[in-house]
Amino acid sequence: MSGLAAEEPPPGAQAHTVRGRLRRALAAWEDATGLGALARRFLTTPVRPGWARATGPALLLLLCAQLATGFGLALHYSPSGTTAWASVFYLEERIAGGAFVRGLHAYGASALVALLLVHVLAVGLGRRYRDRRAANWLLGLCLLPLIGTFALTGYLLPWDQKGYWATRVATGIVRGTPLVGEAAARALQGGAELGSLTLTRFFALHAVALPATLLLLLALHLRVWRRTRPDPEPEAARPYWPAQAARDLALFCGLLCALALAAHFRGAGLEAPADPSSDYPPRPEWYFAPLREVLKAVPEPWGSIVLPGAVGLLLAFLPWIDGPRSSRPRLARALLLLPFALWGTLLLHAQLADLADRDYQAQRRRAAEEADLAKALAREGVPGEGAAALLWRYPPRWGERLFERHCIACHEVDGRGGEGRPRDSEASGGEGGGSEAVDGDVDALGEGAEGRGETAPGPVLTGYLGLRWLREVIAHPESPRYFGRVPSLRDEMPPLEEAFLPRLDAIAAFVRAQDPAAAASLDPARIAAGRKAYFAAECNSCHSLKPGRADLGPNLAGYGSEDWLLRFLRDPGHELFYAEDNAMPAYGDELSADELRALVAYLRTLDGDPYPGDPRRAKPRPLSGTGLGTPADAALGR
Amino acid sequence: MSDDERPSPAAGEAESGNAPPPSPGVDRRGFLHLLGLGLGASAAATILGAVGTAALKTPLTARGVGGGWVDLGPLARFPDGAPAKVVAVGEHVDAWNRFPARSLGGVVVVREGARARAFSSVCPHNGCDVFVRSEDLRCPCHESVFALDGSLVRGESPRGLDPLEVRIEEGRLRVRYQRFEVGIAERRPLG
Repeated sequence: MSGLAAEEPPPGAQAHTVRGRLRRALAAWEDATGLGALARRFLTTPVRPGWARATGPALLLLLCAQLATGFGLALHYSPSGTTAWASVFYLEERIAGGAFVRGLHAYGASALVALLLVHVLAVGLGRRYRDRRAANWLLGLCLLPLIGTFALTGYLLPWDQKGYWATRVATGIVRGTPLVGEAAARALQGGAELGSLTLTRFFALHAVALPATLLLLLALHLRVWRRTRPDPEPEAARPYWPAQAARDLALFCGLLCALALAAHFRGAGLEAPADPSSDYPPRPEWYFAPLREVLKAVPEPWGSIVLPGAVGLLLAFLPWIDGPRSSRPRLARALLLLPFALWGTLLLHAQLADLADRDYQAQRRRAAEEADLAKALAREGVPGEGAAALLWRYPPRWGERLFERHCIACHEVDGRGGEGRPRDSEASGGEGGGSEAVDGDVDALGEGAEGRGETAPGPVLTGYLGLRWLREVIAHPESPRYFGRVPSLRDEMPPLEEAFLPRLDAIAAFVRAQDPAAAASLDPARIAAGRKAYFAAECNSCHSLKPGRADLGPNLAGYGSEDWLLRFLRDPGHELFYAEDNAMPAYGDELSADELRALVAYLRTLDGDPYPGDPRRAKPRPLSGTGLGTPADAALGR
Repeated sequence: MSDDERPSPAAGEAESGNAPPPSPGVDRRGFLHLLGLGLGASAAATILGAVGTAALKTPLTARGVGGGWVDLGPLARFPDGAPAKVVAVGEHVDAWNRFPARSLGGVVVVREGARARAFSSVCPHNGCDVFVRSEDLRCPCHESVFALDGSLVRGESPRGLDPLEVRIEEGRLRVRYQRFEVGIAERRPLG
């Protein structure tokens, strides 16, 4: 308060000017709050300047930066299983500066952990835990698990593969704790499994409970620091501002530059949306990687709880190991450096092991492709069903699942299936009928399959619609790989006459060209030659090319096109297709229109051609109707 | 502001010197003391109890995914003798969302002719998803390796892969999809 009195204006001077009024208002504010005096006292605190003392203040500034960038993220984040990934994607790609803020926050978290470890090391090596400062050493150590929890909860929030699987492991580790494991894991997850309730919970912890706890702990840490720190030697002492403050700010700004570079040039990254079953190889953040190495070799709970706990206890007892009664600086230094050295060694080992692991490298590449595909699909808008639907409903994959459910029993593909269709009693439309309960006794090893092979299998579809497949089918339709498997068809279509065999390639190209989408990539001269041969060989006498004309064999107008395949799948027994020779069930009622389209999309990729709707090849459509004429849109157009 | 200074021994004494002398009102004061503590404690207990109940009761009793029979498609889709990992598709309820057909999790199927075994692909160690190699199944997290009969070959998993009940009906493979608690030697279904 004494400092304040000196600044009060002389009585009467400028009392009625604007400046005078302002001055008096400020004085009244200062009188009420005392903040100015507090700041002055803080800034003039005598300290002995040094870089080793800059870690604490820089840490504090970094935490403030995390609070600010965290707010910027929370403005756009929506915690739920359907929206979390989509909102982070939207922030990354559609919010101006969103990716940069997220990058700052993500790399800031890493920097925070690194700086915290350096801070512990600097304080420890400086023996600043001795005497009255033991309490503050312990308070500071509490920050380690707190920041760890921050990192853990923040990692999950994007609900991408990386966060999801890392959290599956983390909750799995908690589950492995004796006695309380399952209850603790459920309390953490908000249920029996990871899901929307885990996200709301982790978000509440990450953005509300943990920051509040951290601020309280930090306030206490600073207060105890002021109350317990020894007075610096008078000859070395300088006021905090500017001698030490400049060092603190220099360290912080240096870190901030590194963060900004990382955020701008690398970004925080976003993997594909969380998928509860995948070959994604989970990895923790680098600072937890040594723990993973321990878990690989040491059974729980020794690796997960006992070892980290022992290290924590060792650090906590440092003020008494190297205490006022028994000064053991060398032992203390060894005890302090040992866990850090171990941690660093394991970190290096983890990196080298991953580099040498071929399974891991292949899975990483695949994960990167998945992420690219998911993001490309998301650029056209994430469906309300949630981000997981992006890949789940991606037509070629959806179609493949449907094929493996409905078609593969009769149609061999890539060496699997084609063993014959069982009695037709499956009325489970689409994929949804999978969870119905079935009563009866069960064995660990199922037996039965008496219905297998009841119906003859259909043509092999490996390479379906490809020129090679067409050549083989046209030359030898009676082959047991193709229509020879269906007795009624065996005699209907004879093998191609030998005279036409030299023109087989051209005929195949001509048949393939009935699909306008495929015609563009075929040689027009060859198609024309094939057309001649098609008529010369009298293919057209059974396989008409006129739309809607029913002949002995299937009508081939538009053969192989999406439309032809859709009509065929809906009703293969239609007079335009196999008519009375048909042995294939109709799927018009069993599958929905979307499912049929997905199945066709898959069938059309069997020849090795890429799916034409792959958004990674097509130009992205901007979201319409959202008024998003931002520069971000232009930047998206690749 | 004095609390920022080191505590001086004199300050504490001055504080106690200001206390009123003992009086006949001490009983009344003691009662108010107890009342204050009691009110404060019950208010705190009410609020913390309410929040604690909301935070913990439902999660601790919630049921896990699965338990129903899931159709994995025709047995013919599985290669004979080699392991395959497929997705169990079924109704998935996540809090307030219901998805009629979504991945519940992975199933490893090892077919031997007309018979088949099935395992949950969740590694019983920490809950990662194992992946299929030609001769064995490997967990990408902590590198436990399992044989095709589900038994642990090496690694820190406390048990082998969890077998799922299997039925083969009309050439189609059905499994009773379940998740189990991880990290313990005992095989205990979730929920």
